[in-house]
Amino acid sequence: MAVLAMRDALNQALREEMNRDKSVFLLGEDIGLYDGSFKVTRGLLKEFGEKRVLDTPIAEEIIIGTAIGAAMSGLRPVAEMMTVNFIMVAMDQVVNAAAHIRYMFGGGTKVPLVIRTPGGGGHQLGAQHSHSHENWFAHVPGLKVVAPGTPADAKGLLKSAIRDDNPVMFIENEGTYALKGEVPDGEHLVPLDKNEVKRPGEQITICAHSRMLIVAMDAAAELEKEGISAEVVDMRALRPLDMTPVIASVKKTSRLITVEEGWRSYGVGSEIASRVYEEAFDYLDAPVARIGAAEVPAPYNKRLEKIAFPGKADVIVTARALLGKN
Amino acid sequence: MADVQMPRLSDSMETGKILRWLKKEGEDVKKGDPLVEIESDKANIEVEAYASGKLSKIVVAEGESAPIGAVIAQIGDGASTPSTPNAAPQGQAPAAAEAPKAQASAPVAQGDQAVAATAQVAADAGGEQYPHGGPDDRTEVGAAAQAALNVIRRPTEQEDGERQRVSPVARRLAEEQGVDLSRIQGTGPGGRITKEDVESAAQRPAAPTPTLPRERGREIERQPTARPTGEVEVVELTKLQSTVAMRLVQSKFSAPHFYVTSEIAMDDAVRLRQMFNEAVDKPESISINDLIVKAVALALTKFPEINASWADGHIERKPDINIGIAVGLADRLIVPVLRNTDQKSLKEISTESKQLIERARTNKAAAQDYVGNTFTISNLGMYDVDQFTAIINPPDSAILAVGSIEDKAVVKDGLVVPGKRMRVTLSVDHRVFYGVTAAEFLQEVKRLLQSPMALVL
Repeated sequence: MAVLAMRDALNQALREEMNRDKSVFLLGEDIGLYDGSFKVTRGLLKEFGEKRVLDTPIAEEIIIGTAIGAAMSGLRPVAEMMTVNFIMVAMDQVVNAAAHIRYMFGGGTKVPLVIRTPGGGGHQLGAQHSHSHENWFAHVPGLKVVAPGTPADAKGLLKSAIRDDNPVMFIENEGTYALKGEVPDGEHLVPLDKNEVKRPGEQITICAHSRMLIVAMDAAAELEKEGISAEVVDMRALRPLDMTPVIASVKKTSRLITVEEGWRSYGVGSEIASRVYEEAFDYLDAPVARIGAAEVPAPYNKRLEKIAFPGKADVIVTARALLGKN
Repeated sequence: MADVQMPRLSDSMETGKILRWLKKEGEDVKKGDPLVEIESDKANIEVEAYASGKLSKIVVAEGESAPIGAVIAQIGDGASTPSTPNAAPQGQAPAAAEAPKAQASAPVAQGDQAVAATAQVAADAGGEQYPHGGPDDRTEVGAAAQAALNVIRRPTEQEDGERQRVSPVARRLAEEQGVDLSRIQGTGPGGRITKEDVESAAQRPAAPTPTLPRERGREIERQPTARPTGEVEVVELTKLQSTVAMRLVQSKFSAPHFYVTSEIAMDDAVRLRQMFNEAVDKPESISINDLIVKAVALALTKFPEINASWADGHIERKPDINIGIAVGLADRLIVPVLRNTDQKSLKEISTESKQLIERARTNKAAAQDYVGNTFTISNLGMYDVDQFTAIINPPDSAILAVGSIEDKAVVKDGLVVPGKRMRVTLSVDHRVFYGVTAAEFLQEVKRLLQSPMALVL
């Protein structure tokens, strides 16, 4: 067990899988010579050579299209979209090709593809570079979507994603690459369809994934100082969406806050809330509170940006309000 | 004297490692000269001096690391002795304008982001330090939570006496534990009754509640409760209570009331009810009150002068017969209204009034459940009451107060025999009709209840 930053945990997962399976290869912009924009692929070009670590042109549709073709031909590509913002030009490939091909060919072909890409805002990069799109992908049958919030999960989920025979959207976050945590050495697999309680509590349930998991954990720690016991459920498995720990938790706490970095409307929290209304309505003591980015294109202005994206204070104030302590 | 601080070279950087000092201690440096080579988490970057002077002290040696903001060297004018530098506390990054300019920068996160150093946060139960992009140091609630808070804090839109806000889990618990929601004051946002409210209500002994029209013999037990100590306890009225108080005063002191009492033999009505209930399933069973409601409604068809209101110096006779049923709850008095009562069968009256009363009890009643009454019945029969007089419920011109059915020794054909007797008292607005009408009306009600087959036809 070593303490690794998120980027190094991901790097370890890639290295281990590339060593384990010769059909695994990487492609993306600046992932080779430059070691990746966020240094996730550091050293891999040197180690595995140009045939397995491909620097591509700045052409996202071609990157995904190439990866899909390779996957259909028996390889296991891991494509990097430098950020999720750039995947929009490749959405036809992601949805119409990657997600649907296996079904349209009656199972005659499969697409064992991983698309790694970071989302997230809060870095003053403007509206076009601050997106969180996991809900778009999680809407599409045929895709699996995961979004880890800890280095250990990042490693375990990436290894599982590479071994999965379906296209997996592996959503990272620009704000978590330096996040450090203990990561099991060697073979460490985290299932793609299991969410889990990351912090047990009694009075209120907080659901969050990716960077918002950290925000939720911070908020829960602060709330504990005020005598409010919050349970944090990591929603790392977004599609298929594992609701089991959420339902169990809501049955215990009767109150739910969902936190996501993307917009609230039609968001991850909306889906979680609907499932809770369907499966645990009679256990709710208050309406489900959804926290998400303000419904505006992300502001560049630093102060505006700061209030537009969810932070610890939002979770804390919402938790107090739900408990009638405001 | 200027401090050289560890610059922030990427948005995800926490610490930087000094690879090489490009100037020696004591050497002169000019603003813009390459000063030091630093390894960030992303790249090796040459950092320029941003002040001119003598490099008076190198604080962090080659090969060592320091967090963002820590003093790594000092540039002096050569005159003063360098002070002992203190490492800047975490989270205090050089302000944007003062930050050393990085020559290289990451493609996405530009070097000069004016964001403070990566926050160190305890992120899990184990207390592990989890840094992440940008400090999460906002203490006021942001736009991100505002929409959720608006929902949580939305004030109750309904007035008292209308639909009560109850959370789903509170409703379920109340049902399971037999807690009467109408006697709970919600403490949740907007006055919503929460799980906790129900749980604490379940601990308290049940207050004497609904004066539901039922038969005599209801066991009432009032627990001794704590009296206010020392000072007088002021009980504020709910909006509904104020309204009721105002209307009662208005009625009692504007309508000249007179009262007519009659005793009715209920033997046949009781027997009819018994037979009826033996023939139907329990949910369809009828009450004595249902029989009284039906009898009154039928009687009113013959007395349009009673189904009327006093209104500004004239009398308004009403086309419909709508009977209000007074329901007393712990903290309020409400009168749900059965519409077109004369046209309804006994079974319909029974079902509908059960629904109305249940809705009233659980605060689910709609506003129209409470309006349109033309005559009201107040029944305290289940509380072992011989007889009482009621205040007219505006805009009615009369109200019938119903006492308990008592087993009495009665004289029949010269013999003393057991009989079931019930006393009813009609309160009348003397402006609308007079004593003879009142007496005739009571006779008709009496006739219907004493020969009750007409009620089931």
